Amino acid sequence: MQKRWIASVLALATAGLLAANAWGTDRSGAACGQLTGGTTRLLGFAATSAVPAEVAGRLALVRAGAATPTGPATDGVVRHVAADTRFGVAYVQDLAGPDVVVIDRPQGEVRLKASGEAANPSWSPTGDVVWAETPGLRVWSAKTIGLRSIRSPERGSLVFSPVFAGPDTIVAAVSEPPTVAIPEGEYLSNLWRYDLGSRAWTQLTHFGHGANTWSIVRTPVVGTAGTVEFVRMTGDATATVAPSFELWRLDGDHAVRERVLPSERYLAGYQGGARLWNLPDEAAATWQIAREEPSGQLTQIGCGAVLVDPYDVGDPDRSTTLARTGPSPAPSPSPSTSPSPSSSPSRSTSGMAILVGDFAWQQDAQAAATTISDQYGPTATVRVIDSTTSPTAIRPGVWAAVLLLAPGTDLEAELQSFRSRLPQFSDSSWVVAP
Amino acid sequence: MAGSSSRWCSRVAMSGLAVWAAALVALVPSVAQAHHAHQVPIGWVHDHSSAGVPQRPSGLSALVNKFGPVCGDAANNARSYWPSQAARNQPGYLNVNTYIGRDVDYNIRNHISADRADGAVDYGVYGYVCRYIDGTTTWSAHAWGAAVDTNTARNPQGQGHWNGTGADGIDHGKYIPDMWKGSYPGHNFYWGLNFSNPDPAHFQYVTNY
Repeated sequence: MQKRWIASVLALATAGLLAANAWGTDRSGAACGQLTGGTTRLLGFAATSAVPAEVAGRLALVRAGAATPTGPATDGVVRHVAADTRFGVAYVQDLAGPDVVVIDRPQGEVRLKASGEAANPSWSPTGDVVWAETPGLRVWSAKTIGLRSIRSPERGSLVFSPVFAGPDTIVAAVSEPPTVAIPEGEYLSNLWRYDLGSRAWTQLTHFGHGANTWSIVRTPVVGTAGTVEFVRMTGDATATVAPSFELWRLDGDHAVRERVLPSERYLAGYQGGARLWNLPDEAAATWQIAREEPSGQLTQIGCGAVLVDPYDVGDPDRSTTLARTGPSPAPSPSPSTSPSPSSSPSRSTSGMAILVGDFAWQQDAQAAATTISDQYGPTATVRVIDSTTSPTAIRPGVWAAVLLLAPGTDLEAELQSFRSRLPQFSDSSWVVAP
Repeated sequence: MAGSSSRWCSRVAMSGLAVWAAALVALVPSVAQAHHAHQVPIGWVHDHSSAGVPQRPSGLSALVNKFGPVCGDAANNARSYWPSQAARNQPGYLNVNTYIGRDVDYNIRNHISADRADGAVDYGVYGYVCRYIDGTTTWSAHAWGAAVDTNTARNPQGQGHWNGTGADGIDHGKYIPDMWKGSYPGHNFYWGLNFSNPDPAHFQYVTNY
């Protein structure tokens, strides 16, 4: 049905397999994304080519395919690791409920309890740290050890991924507030600039969205030349097509598109002037860290989440009750309280079907039913339905043809088989319970 | 609620013949309409086998293994027709992944219809949506067609309780959440009300994600 998306998924899967063969294990034999034994000193990263990142919920140094933890396991999950060779490492200790922002410097460790969700810490040129703390920003001053709060520029909007574009200038992403039509899930975000002196926000990018299309920005980072680079993604919320990923940079107050990215990836900072990327491996539930060489080729460093959200551990904020009460059991049948069953389902049908529709005219639905019968033969049960016979499967005023499915049918496999046998119905066929 | 139909019939049967005849004449159209609106397939019963209520994955790897690629073809291949979908009393289609097609379309949708409880559903009702969770690099479970939002207008994200008022203006308590989440008569979805940042309208067929 969506050949382009399927092709891209296959390409990604193939790339993933090749990657797994090339550097899926480290020298110790551990799979990419697994911690190796012992611990290492966190701030030692500045003297090596190691990348501080989250691995298995802990802070680790990732280098040459290996991930070495920097200390014992603690509560919660490490998230969003910002490293600056001049100052140290800042990250979020993500907990169920309010988080902790950890700032680790040669002078010692600072732990700052947030009032709620914290995310995306980032260093200033003078060693201050800014992070997102729902729904605004917080700034920690290295000089005064004081905290400052910054409100979001628009009521109901969410500010995230702040970076210092200069000593007194912060650039951050701001997402539009939810609506009744879009109660959750981001449909539009843009970059804004906050001036610490004047306390004023200015919108920098002006990306838009459509009824179903969305446009969001992620992982802004400050490059070696002081330029802010970021990833922009666009997609269609209702379609099953791959979203688009692009690398952009800010040129003054204007955004310039650098290039289209071949697949999903997010900026992870820089190493010796070279871009670092986080690439998802969803099947393995891990993030690959790669360095972009001058030729454009990617060199694998290892696995771990730098500025992205961890894949290898669950979000503590979405697992709290589960941990407290245990997983919900599958419901058991209770015939005495089941709603008015008159008999068991038919032995020959499952109550599920493949529907082709909707047709404005009954004759068209009948013609489709005939086509299906011709393809599947006389043993298949095919009929025409409308809302008087199947009110939970089809809207009033239209008709559809349905092919009833046998019990135990793999619904997705049967639908794909149906679409390959009758490709003229590929875009108008669904699984339903008529 | 399942017994409301039989109670109504008992009251009518106890009336006198004249009243019965008059009532019959007056109510025939509405009875027919009600039957139409709440009809379920003949012989319908819950299917609580592994086909009707399949294994609920835990974590991203298992989610991808069961539901396929994010924003992939299977993510919106199952559909059912719901009252008050995009707006109050404006029905529409709900699309989810075929992995939970039988649970959503056959079990849950037919159960609500059999209970004559369509009025407990209020807008908006959403399934497959290819989007990210706000401000994160994490795809929403909706992007796999593995989550459903229902009654969102009265149950916005961040609200720490469930508002059970349906499109019919009646407070149905936790009838709708009980239908989706675990424990009888639920159908094994995990309720977003349990998140640290509660999302009472959100029900997802995955945990630890």
